[in-house]
Amino acid sequence: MKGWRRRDLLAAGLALPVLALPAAARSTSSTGGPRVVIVGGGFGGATAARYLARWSPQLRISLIVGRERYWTCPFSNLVLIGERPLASLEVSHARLEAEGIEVLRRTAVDFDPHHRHLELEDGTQLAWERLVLAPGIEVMPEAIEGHGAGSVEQFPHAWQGGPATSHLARRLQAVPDGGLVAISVPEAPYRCPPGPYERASLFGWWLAQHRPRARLVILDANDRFTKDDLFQAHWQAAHGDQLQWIGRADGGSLRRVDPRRGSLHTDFDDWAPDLACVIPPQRAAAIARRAGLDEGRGWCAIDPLTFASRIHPEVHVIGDAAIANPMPKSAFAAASQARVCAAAIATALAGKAPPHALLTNTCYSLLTPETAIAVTGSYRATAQGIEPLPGTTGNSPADASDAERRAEAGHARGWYAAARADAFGD
Amino acid sequence: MRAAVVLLLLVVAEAGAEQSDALATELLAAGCNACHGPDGQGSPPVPALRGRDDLHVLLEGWREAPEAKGRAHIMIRFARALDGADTAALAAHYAADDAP
Ligand SMILES: Cc1cc2nc3c(=O)[nH]c(=O)nc-3n(C[C@H](O)[C@H](O)[C@H](O)COP(=O)(O)OP(=O)(O)OC[C@H]3O[C@@H](n4cnc5c(N)ncnc54)[C@H](O)[C@@H]3O)c2cc1C
Ligand code: HEC
Repeated sequence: MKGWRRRDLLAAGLALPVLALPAAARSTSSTGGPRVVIVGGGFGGATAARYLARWSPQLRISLIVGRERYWTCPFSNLVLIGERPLASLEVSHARLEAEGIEVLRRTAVDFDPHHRHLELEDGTQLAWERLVLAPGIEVMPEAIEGHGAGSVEQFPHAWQGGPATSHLARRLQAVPDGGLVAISVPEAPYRCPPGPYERASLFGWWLAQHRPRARLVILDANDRFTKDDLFQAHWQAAHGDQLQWIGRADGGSLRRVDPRRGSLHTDFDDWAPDLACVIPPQRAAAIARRAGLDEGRGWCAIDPLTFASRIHPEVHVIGDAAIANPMPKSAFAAASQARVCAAAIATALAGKAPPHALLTNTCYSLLTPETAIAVTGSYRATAQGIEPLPGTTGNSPADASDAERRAEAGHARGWYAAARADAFGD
Repeated sequence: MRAAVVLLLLVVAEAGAEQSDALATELLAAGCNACHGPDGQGSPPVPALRGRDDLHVLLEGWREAPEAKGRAHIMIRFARALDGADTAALAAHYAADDAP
């Protein structure tokens, strides 16, 4: 359903003219308070909904979650190597509904920032005082020559979680001993900067157990990456020449794929892997690129004090869809931004200034199912931008003992459970 | 209905600065709960914060730590983002047994 446009719906005879709608669908609110509509039921949107409900109990809150079920991407790299069932990553929105948040399982197709309406796929118009967009990303396989939606199954990315993760897991199982696995990484910015390297580490671990003669190559469109010294040291120690990273300067950028041959082509080399996991370039999901919100840049500029759009200030954008660097596009960051945004909306609707806000992030990355490293940072939001606070950004110590790396994997599991509980109560 | 909404918002605005400080502390604590679990009750093996009386001492100690190393390297970095008023507010927030 994600790709549906209003004209497709019109063609299908599904779109209702606004005036034909029952009055209830158009009214601001039936409970008396102003209405906030939030699009996207992932880490950003769900967190925003719950904290708004807590801090502004008089609000009517509608959360538009789309038709698809939601599986977390965090910890999905463990599913790929059979160390965790996909079902354990699915979260429901039942708890949010029980807390009085209206959850609508439909896709939002457009919004009007001037008349303050959001349009759903069935033509329903929802009126809002504030709109929060947390729709995550859209992948662009077609940005790679020879690639497109039709060849994603052949070059699987599983970068949006769910059943595609199981498909990629089966493809890994099918790699023969002595075979070659490739992972290609798009140029930043993209969702989860350490994600490709966590995946490479866990693939490397799995191959070492089950396909000891197989090799892994990472074709990278970047020259540096997060925690690179820690990842590289681990790869060298654990996998030696069997795991090769090729950066941009050495021709790592993927230029073209050939779906017929299953081959990958960079400036200098041609590869014929048994499994090619091609992580496509990305941009904000479609709804966050309506009404000029992304200025044609693919991502949305925001005021970091409130996460209000720089283009339409009554529309807020949080999570992966927003430009919030130096914060990475992570679930941790999306939730941090969601709370700051919720506090800003709650105070603004009460006629007050937003509270002093600290933005935080920590990304844990598994090196093996039992060991992990982390990168962390705290940031001050100013009207100009997001500034890292001195001394707060950095990685796990390079000389950490095995026991410390194991403790950190435990902390990663603790974070995951806490993050789910915070966002979804599930 | 509009008038009622405006009235409600004015009443909320009246509550004043004290409430906004309370919100700032909740916002700060929510960032801790992201790892330490709902209401700081713990998310094993990440320890609980709720009901502890040594938070202020620990956070101030980390703020002074010369290097971010060891198992608590993340906590040392987080503590550096706080000032004395923040650590005091967090300590009071978690020491109170009336979980929100
Ligand atoms: C392999 C992998 C591992 C990761 N590991 C970690 C990790 O360990 N830690 C971490 O912090 N982050 C991790 N991430 C990143 C994390 O998944 C994202 O940063 C996070 O999900 C972003 O949250 P979001 O709310 O912006 O978007 P999402 O979580 O993607 O939620 C957006 C939701 O909105 C829906 N939606 C989109 N458009 C519409 C519409 N028009 N109408 C209705 N609904 C719509 C989408 O279908 C989706 O359900 C990982 C990512 C990957 C791929
Ligand atoms: C990214 C996850 C994360 C965040 C966010 C976080 N912590 Fe922690 N914290 C940990 C971990 C992990 C430990 C345990 C470290 C260890 O094993 O020694 C810990 C330990 C602690 C301890 C010591 C508890 C004990 O029993 O020794 C205190 C106190 C603490 N944190 C307070 C805070 C406060 C206050 C905040 C918010 C400002 C916060 N933490 C935010 C992960 C986090």
